[in-house]
Amino acid sequence: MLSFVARRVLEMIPTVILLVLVVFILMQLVPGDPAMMVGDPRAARDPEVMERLREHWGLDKSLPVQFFTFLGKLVRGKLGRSYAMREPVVSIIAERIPVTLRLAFSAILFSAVFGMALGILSALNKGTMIDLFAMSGAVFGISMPNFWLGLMLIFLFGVILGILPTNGYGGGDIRHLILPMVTVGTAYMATITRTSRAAILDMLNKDYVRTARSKGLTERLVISKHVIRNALIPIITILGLQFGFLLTNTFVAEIIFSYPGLGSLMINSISRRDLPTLQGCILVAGLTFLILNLLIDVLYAYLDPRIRYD
Amino acid sequence: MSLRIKLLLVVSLTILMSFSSLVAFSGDEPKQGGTLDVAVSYGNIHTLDPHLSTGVTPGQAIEQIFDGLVAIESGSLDLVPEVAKNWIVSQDGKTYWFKLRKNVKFHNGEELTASDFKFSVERLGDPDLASPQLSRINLLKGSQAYKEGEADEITGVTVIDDYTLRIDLSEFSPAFLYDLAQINIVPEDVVKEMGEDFANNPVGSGPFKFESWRRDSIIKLSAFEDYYAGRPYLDNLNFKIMLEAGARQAAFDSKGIDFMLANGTMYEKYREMPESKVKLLTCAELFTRNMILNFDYEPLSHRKVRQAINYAIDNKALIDNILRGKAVPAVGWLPTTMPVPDEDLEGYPYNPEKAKELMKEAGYEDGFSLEIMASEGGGGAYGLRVVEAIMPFLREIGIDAEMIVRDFGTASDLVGQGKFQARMYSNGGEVSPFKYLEIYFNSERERYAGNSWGYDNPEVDALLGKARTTTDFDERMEIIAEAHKLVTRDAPSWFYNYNKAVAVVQPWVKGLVANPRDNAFHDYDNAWLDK
Repeated sequence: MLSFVARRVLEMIPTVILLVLVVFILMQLVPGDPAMMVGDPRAARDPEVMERLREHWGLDKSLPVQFFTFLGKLVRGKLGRSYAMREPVVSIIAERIPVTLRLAFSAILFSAVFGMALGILSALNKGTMIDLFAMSGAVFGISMPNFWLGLMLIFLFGVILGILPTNGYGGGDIRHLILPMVTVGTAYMATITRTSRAAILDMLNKDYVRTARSKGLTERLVISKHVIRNALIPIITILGLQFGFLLTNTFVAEIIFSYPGLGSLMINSISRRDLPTLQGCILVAGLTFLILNLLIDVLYAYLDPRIRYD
Repeated sequence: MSLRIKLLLVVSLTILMSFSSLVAFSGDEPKQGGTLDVAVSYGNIHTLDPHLSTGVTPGQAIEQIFDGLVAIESGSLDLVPEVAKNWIVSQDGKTYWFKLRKNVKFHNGEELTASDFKFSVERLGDPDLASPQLSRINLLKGSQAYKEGEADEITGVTVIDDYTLRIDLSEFSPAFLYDLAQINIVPEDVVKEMGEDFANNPVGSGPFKFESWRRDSIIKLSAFEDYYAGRPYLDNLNFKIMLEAGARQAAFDSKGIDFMLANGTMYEKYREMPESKVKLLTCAELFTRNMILNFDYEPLSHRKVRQAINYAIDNKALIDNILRGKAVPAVGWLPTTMPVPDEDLEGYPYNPEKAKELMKEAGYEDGFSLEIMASEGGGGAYGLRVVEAIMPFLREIGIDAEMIVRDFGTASDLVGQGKFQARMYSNGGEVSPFKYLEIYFNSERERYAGNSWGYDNPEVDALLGKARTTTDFDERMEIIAEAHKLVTRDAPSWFYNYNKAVAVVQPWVKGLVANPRDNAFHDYDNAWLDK
């Protein structure tokens, strides 16, 4: 098992190098001069300031020099300084990661709990109105663009009912988390509902369930002990696979709700051409995906020994 | 009517009037306390260091925390004393003596003295800081050598004693005091001690002091008890970053924010509402929305063609229909709120016949094709919708227009390199009429430094040179008006509109006035809450 993990980690290295290279090249391809973006975009530019800034940022150096400076900093765990904020990118990003993770994980929790409950409910009541209702709800949830859902939630809970804050982090106040969480989690929840319904229906037809029933176990015990536990495996797979999409969704929700996470940082640095910050965000997002994939692979190998020996 | 009844009427009217004025008076007596929540909508606040910030968005918070020697008053745009009590100027306009107030304190309790000003100016010009506001100190004698790292100090700023400053300029400039108003004073010892962290924990001498900042979310300020002009009425002032228009409107309607800038749809909604529900602060802002015409593109090098474009488009119809009346039709480059005597300037009223005639005279009877660059985000003011709307008007005079969509960064870059034919944009934001004209139409300026058109008119250059050295205000304005007339005649742009800036305010907020400099800037120390 250990050698499997070691091999997978080693295999990650070329991917990381490729990621770094692609990110650096992408930054060169971004149209628009960062020095032009300093200041009010509507006011005229001062040539002296622009020249001074390019020098300050090292943009007057040749590309290979810029690349090796970037690489040299990277291996020392540095990502340079933000053009706009003038602070180390590492500390700016470090401040944002917990905010985004908090939103992402609460959205997972929300969607897992409600999604599984709905899925189980409709599987056990297959063909009834409950099933129909839950399944059409799930289709609706998947189809709905989440920025639109966010705005509708603001309208309903913020304007009409006036019971939930629609904006900001609120210093970590849990009430500020509710609407962004639902916005991010709804599509995810719909997927889980459908997956868990299918998984449970599948399990209900298995031989061991029939055995359990014929043994005289109560239906309640059959469902909780045999059906649900085994249905968890495909559900967890889906949870892991969809995590990447979930992160993308948090980015959108962060903008709508002025939630100060990685997503709003990234979008703002794009429009401001704050290249070091943008570079840092993309690297962090890319690494997150790589690590997640690694974790999922390891989890599979743990669950299914056949994979380890391939 | 008998005399008695008349008398009775007069008496009762007098009583009524004095009573109502009494009521009004008691309602206008400022109250202390409360929190004002302001929505920040243009973009993000990236720093609170007054020497590293740029533009309106960080400025609206920074101006509350810091003071300068002088200030530009909201509403009137007058230059008023701030940390400086008063000043005198030499005959040639090149030397200023400033007397500072004695009771000005920084938020940490320390006194602000003349040496803090000198430190602030030198920090701004520090080659290692690479401040984006570098040009604000250009007029100070010795600033060039200091910026190049060849001198240890800016010789043009002399500290005579704690409360007296002498400032020498390398040349007279009509824009000097406006530049000075935008140099914020920071406390020398605090900045030296905190270093980089100053941007996150700013200490100034302004009416509000810094409390906390959650990036991309909220900045919290509180009243500074020892402010030299007396503490502000408000206890707390918050800036909430809300870039999404729908979210802003929802927050306003649910009373979550007290102040926001309105876009066209919001203006249409809120102007129909009674004053008891919402207050609007409206003014013509110092921005000129226009379509920049590149003189390098052959058809546009003819003045008559450019004039024809101006005559061909019905500005008023566009403003009424796509901006819901939220703009002032442009009659030239300088916004009509500026103190430039231009009464007889009528610009280019809608006249398609005249436009066709001009096209014919210029030899473009059969028209030509035109690529118009525009960006998302300018909306009906200077965005994609304007370009869509003018296409049929241009078609009328034979111009076959095509829209090219680029984001602001890319578009500015292309314009700076001259790689465009026409661009829809919003320029301005300068308070000084001289600067508002000079940075764009001085032929010596590069395209990226303001002269996007490649405009070159020796007469205008000569007039601008003359205005630069004219110390008398009225005389200078006459010269600027003359130059402006020439620019307007040359029609370098299609002059579309000046922004009618509309701020939407909750009815209980008092003491704020519309600000033509930019309706996002306000003297919040005058604001108070009546609730």
